[in-house]
Amino acid sequence: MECREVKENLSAYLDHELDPQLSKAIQTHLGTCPGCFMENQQMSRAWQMLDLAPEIEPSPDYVSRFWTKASLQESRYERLLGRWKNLWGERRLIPIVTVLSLMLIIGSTGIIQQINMQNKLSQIKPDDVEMLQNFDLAQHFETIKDLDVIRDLDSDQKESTI
Amino acid sequence: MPDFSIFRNSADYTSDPDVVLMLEFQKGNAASFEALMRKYYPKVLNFIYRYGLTRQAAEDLTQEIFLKIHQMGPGYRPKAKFQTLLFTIVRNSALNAIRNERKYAASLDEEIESEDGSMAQQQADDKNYSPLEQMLENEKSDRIMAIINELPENQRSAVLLRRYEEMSCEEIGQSLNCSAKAVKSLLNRAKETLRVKLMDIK
Repeated sequence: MECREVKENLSAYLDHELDPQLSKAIQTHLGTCPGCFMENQQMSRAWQMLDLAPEIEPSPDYVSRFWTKASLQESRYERLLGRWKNLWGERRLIPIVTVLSLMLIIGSTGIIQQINMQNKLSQIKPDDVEMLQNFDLAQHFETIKDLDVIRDLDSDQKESTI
Repeated sequence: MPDFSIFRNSADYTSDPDVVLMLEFQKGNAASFEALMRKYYPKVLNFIYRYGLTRQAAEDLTQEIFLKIHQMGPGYRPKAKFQTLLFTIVRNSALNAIRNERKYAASLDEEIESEDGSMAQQQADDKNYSPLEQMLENEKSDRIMAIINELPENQRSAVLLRRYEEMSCEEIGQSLNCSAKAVKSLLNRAKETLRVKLMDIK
């Protein structure tokens, strides 16, 4: 058995959690390998030394303190539950809740419409904006187009005479 | 593949006396809950203290944990050994407490007030040590505590649950939400670290 395999299983070996065959193989190896034997001894000792970690005692009144807190907690819970039941039992709150709900629905609808409008506006091109801004001109587009043609023809004539 | 074996039906755990006490408490028997608390309170307190909180923080957290268990009474369903459930809550609570910066280094000079009003050191002294011997013993125990606290959280939890609560690797795995094989690996690494760091302490 190799030292690497022994070291991988040392913890389980110390806890007697290995199957008998593997445990026996490790035991044999420890008998012939001073390095692994030393590590096994050190690991076992370190594990035992944990007994020396501090141990504290609970405060003498821990039981009574607990029951005091538990009863306060129950009272608080019952009070909250009582308030909730009272709130739900108040008939005059029903129309208020209804109105608030309607306001919420209407407000949400308005916000959604606003968002849709903004989306549509963002799709408008600059040329379209100019067209809309000059709506009166747009109404007389055909006339303007003809005037442009006449102007172009006139400028061509002048150039040719020069 | 997740280990679903922990979700056994409640009948499998009624042989656990602690589960029986919890079920009796569920029916209204407060004395059963107190019996559970008296059994586990010192263990929970010391687990949290060794995990790295101060004594006062450990006391407060222990009280909170048992209040939580108390509240669970009406809805309690035994899906694991009571000890496993308890230390799952304990470990998670301690971990959260430390992460929320409620951890204070336990000072060598931190003292507790004993019943007669005089100040005494943290280490319970039930042996007839001379003052020098007592001082050396306290230093050793504080050093061991510091070494435990230096372990990564998962390894620390595995060591504390294995060494002081004697839980099996399967039970520790349920508390830490990992496999028994992973717990064995954690313990192996933790013990190797402890071996190296405690080597020089006589």
